[in-house]
Amino acid sequence: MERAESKPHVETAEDRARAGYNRLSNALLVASGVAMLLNLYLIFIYAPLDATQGQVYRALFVHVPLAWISFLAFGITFVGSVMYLWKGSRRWDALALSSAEIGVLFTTLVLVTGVFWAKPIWGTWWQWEPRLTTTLILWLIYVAYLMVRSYAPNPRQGARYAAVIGIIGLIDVPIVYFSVEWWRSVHFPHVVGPLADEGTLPASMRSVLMFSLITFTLLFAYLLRERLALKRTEDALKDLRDTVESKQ
Amino acid sequence: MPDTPQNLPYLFAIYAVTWVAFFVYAFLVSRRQRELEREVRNLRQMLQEKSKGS
Repeated sequence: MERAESKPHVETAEDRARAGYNRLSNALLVASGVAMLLNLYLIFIYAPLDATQGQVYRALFVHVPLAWISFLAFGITFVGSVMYLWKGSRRWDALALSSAEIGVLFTTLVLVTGVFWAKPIWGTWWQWEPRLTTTLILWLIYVAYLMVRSYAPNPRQGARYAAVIGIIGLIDVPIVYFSVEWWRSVHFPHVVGPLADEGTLPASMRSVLMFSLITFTLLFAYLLRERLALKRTEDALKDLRDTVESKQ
Repeated sequence: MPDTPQNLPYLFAIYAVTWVAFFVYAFLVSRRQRELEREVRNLRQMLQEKSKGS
């Protein structure tokens, strides 16, 4: 039997597009890595000590950006879900799913970091108070979004059902945000933004918090691109399998 | 007094859990992507050979 000669690989337009995609992803990864190193310096060296909470207050610079980015992620899921139901394009569905999955990751970390912050300050791991409860509900809504996709009888149906959850679920985001204003809450009040009292957060801490937000946004952008690329590969594989089956 | 050594483990846990979670997620996505890309390449090659054969 003759051994087939391997032909040299000819670069296609698809290869060039993928290379370009990888270059931008790598740039985002490097940018978020550099930003995080600088962020760690700002958090632990530059930001002053808090007189009330001591060192543990530095959880603020992780916990708050994680919450804001999770709101952003579910907002993107909302847009993707609306566009998918309207246009029927898989690209919008891919965006909605990818953002929801990362949003669930960020919300999980909000809850976990919150628990570790609560114990030394409140003396308890958890309280059924408005902010914590509504955040847990938010997490459950988007876990349901992911589960509906996994357990639906077919992918298209799962995507449609999930899109409905992705649209309705966003209602909980403003409820979480305003919960400390609307109800009696032991959670800390807003420290930045239009609802924050002036002087709640000193300027040095506020600037570190803003930089931390930029850092986590870069990280979110990188993770979103990677997850989107994975979803597109999954869809391409499914199409190829369908083609192979149809030829058999 | 909140600023006692006993609170630093909580701060460490917050940062450790956050970074481990991100690294694990990025690793899992990257690994799955490599596996699927390999499968896509194999299927494309199979389809090419089939179309040449026919």
